[in-house]
Amino acid sequence: VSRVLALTAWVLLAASLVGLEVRSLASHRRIPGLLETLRGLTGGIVTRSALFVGWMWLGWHIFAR
Amino acid sequence: VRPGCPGSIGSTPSATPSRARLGSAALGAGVLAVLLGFTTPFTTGADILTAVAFAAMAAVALRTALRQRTGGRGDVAGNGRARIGRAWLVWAGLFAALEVATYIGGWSGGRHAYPTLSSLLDTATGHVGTKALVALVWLALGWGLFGP
Repeated sequence: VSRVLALTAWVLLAASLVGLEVRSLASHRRIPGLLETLRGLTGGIVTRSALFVGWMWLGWHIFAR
Repeated sequence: VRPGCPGSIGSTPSATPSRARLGSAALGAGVLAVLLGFTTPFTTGADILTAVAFAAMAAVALRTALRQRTGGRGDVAGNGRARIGRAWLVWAGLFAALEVATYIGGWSGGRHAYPTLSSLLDTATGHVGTKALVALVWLALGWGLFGP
């Protein structure tokens, strides 16, 4: 039961991601999308570098280790 | 900066990559994604190809940062403020909560009963095709975050 609940939660989260991105597209990007929000949150060199390290970690985690 | 975005600044024509550059970048990403799809974690091949992706994206990020420095700041509205969607902050909070909940739940209930995003990705990357697709999404995410 817990697996079904967890998987349902992940699916709902993925669906909401798609829904929010579609809403942004439908507004002709007047409502910011995920990437724009992330780029907006990481305007400085330190935060942008941290985001880059996070992106690297994701790839390392999935493909190398 | 998204060209055509109302109120945005910094979208100078020189900051927009040419079609040929975009095409070669997409082709390179496609080839790298397919190669990554064939790799196995904890091998030298996986290490090298992942490092190649790091180096390529670092070059893209550096080039973008240098261009933005000379051509104006991106990702900000006309009033100079960054555009941040509050709904995404809520989404990120829910994502973090679910990841933590499933991670902690897995201590006693087992990872199968409480799958984290990592364990779901492990399952997805068990096949060459899906692994190549995940690699392509990862590279596209990097381009979207650090590209022009």
